[in-house]
Amino acid sequence: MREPEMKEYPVRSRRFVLPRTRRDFFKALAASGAAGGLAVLGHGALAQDGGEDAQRENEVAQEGDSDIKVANFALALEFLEQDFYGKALEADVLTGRARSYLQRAEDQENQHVVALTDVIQQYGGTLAEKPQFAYPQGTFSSQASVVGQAQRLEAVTTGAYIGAVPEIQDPGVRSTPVSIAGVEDEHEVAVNDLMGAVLPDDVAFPEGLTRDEVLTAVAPYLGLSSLTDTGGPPPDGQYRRSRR
Amino acid sequence: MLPMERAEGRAAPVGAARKLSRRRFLKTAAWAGAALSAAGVGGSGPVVRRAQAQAYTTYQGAGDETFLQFVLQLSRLTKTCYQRGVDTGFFGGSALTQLEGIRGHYVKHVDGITEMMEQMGVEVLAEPAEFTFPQGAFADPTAFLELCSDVEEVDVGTYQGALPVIENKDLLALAISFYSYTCGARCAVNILKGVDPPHNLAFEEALSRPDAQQAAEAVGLPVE
Repeated sequence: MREPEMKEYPVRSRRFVLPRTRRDFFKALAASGAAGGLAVLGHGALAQDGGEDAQRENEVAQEGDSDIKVANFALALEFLEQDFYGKALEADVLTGRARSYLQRAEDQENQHVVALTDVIQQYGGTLAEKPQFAYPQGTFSSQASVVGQAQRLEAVTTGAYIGAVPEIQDPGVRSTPVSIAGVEDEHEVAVNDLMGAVLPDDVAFPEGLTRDEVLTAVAPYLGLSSLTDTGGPPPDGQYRRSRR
Repeated sequence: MLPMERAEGRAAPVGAARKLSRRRFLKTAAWAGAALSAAGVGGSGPVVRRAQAQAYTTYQGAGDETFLQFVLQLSRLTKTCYQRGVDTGFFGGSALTQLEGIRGHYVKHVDGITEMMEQMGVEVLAEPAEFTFPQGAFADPTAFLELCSDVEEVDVGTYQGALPVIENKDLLALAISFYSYTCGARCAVNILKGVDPPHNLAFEEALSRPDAQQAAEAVGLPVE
């Protein structure tokens, strides 16, 4: 069997407003006090000083990421979703299908946290601590804003899994994130349906996100209310799947 | 044409056609959970999850080439299934838009898998002359949507079973994307069927390799 040539397939377009430079981005994150959350997401070194040396160190570390680190990265995202859906339901602004959809999603995110925790412990890893999360003002003030945030979070999470799964070497570790990845895509489709999308599953090749892209996307939830110096958070709707 | 808007789809009874494809499918396909059922274990708790997660062991040693050939035929079957559903004329409005969209995406999957096979030097098998879909599967909208659910479950289960042991990194990146889409398509079909909430599984269900082959045959893939 020949090794395949590198080829770019058409992928889901998730446009991110990326920081001007990686260094600027991580400096801003470190200054924000979001270091704890970043450590959970595997960027502890950069969160400490945000310097170029740390950046190089981190890049080397990324290359050697263990399966457990990737699983912890996924766990951190599940913590975020678990926290978000819990607060969304507590806010008591959801009715009808929106409530039943998000209630089911919360239950499933809880199960994902348990499953990833099991895998990490089973393989002798150290569990990441659950970070403190913050949300943009008004997130939980109406059903529309909650569902909009859910759409953004699910798009990021789906992209994160698609990007991260190929990094996992051990089949025993990989199988659980694979199983969860598909459910995250289902959540995205369900939320798209809530948003009134005629074709809620509208991209044939969902795109994976790099770790930096995921970090950029979740930074506001780690206590960074503004990322203007680093590109800023993506505007509403930017994570919607593009039609192809 | 019977216009089947999504709102109507949600209200439509879904049990009537289960006697068609699904019964045959579930009777003949020994799902990954069969061993668990035999052991008296049900639900989606840790024991079930771990056993589900072991489905990948049945793909070990089969190789990326075998996986590619199988999912190519599965994608062709899925594409044909949606095409025939669209051609029935049962659907209109947003339901038709969705089914045409899903059909189009599986056409792209077939093309993507074929290109990957060519790049890897894997033999691209000819498309079967005919798929033997279950009798009555295209007799009415509900029966057709049940077939779609069954086909999607085979697709999802196959990808999920094999993904943990795919070795080629480029293929793995492609397969996780296709798998993700397929799970979304499963959910989209649930929306058309009126399943509320449509994301009704906390974990996708893997199929062992022999179960996937059996299940694929049950929904219309001819035996080699």
